[in-house]
Amino acid sequence: MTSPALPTSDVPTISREQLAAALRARRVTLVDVLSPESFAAAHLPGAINLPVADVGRRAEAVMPDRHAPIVAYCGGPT
Amino acid sequence: MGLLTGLGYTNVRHYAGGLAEWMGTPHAVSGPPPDLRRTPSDAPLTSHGAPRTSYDAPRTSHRLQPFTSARFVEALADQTVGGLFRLWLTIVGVCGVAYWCLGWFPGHVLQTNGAPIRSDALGVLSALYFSAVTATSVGYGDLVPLGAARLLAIAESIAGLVIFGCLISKFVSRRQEELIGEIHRIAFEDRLGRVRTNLHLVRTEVQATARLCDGQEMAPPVAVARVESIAMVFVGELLVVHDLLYRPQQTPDEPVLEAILASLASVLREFSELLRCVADARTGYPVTLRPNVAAMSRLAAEICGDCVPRQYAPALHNWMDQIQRIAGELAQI
Repeated sequence: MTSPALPTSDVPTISREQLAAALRARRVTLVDVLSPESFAAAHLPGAINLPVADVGRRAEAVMPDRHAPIVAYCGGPT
Repeated sequence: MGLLTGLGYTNVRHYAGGLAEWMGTPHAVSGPPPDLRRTPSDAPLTSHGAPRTSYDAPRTSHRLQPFTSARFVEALADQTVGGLFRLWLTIVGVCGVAYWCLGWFPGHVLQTNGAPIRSDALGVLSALYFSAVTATSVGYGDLVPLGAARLLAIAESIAGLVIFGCLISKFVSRRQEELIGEIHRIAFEDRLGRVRTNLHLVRTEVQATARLCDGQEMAPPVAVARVESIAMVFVGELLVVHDLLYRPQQTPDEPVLEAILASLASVLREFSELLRCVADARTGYPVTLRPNVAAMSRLAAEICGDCVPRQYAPALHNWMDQIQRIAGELAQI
């Protein structure tokens, strides 16, 4: 069984420290791909919720700028 | 994430550590991110009853927030009692030496009875004494600052007051924090007990309703109504269990968790059979049932050994994987 995250081999990763620095500088859009329920229970500060299933449908509305820096995360190490 | 790049997003990165890593090492980051809500355990995560961000509010244009005095006070409040006291002493010491050094410039000295303080070791002691009297905002007035020393004295007394206030509030809040911790613990145990009871009740209700369905071509309306109310309660319980697994601040003992997961798995299985009876072969679930079933399968799909943020014993893994499997079947009806 795999986590709800998607295969990520072709996407560069970001470390916790880099992410924390980027969040403090407010330079990234942080995307939580878990379910709304999980998001309601706990999420990283400043994250927006975009469940994997909704990515295709709602990405455009949530993140209009396709060249803006985005960081996505899910439940745990994948 | 590959999906996002597929949609044309060019600057996507993946935070591989995810929720688990972020919450697991709360102190690796110096200073929490700015918009962080303080939780009792000080873990850097926001926790709300409902999703906070509306979907139509993109956060791409962030405003830079100035360093406000409120945030300064908050940074002070993060210090320990000892840290605050040391900070206060440091300010007294540094300012004391500064008053003494200012004595080199005529017009900016400390003076007593109209004469400047001495420039030797005794003078340092006098300056430190004045500094302490100022920082505590006592201000006897036996030593009087002049010129730039006045500015420094005002700055010192303000800083001294703020830090002293934080120190006092720390002392007072310590007991409160203990109490809050105790309340959290009791509430947590209460919640565990309730989950187990509720799962049991749901199961009894599922079995009773399944009997209504037995041998019927179509589910009687009364059965559908009962299934609806069961689904509502069950989603709540599922959310609680999901929470237990995804929020690592408080985790029950593994035997307790195993009992809960086992009963959740069996209730979920029986419930999915019951749902099969209610569902129509052509139209699927009744409309009123759909949101709850969707929430149920989504939540249950996230309960599996490999996707929860923590590592558990193999037996627990097993139960979680079962729950996820049943959720998959549920979504297919």
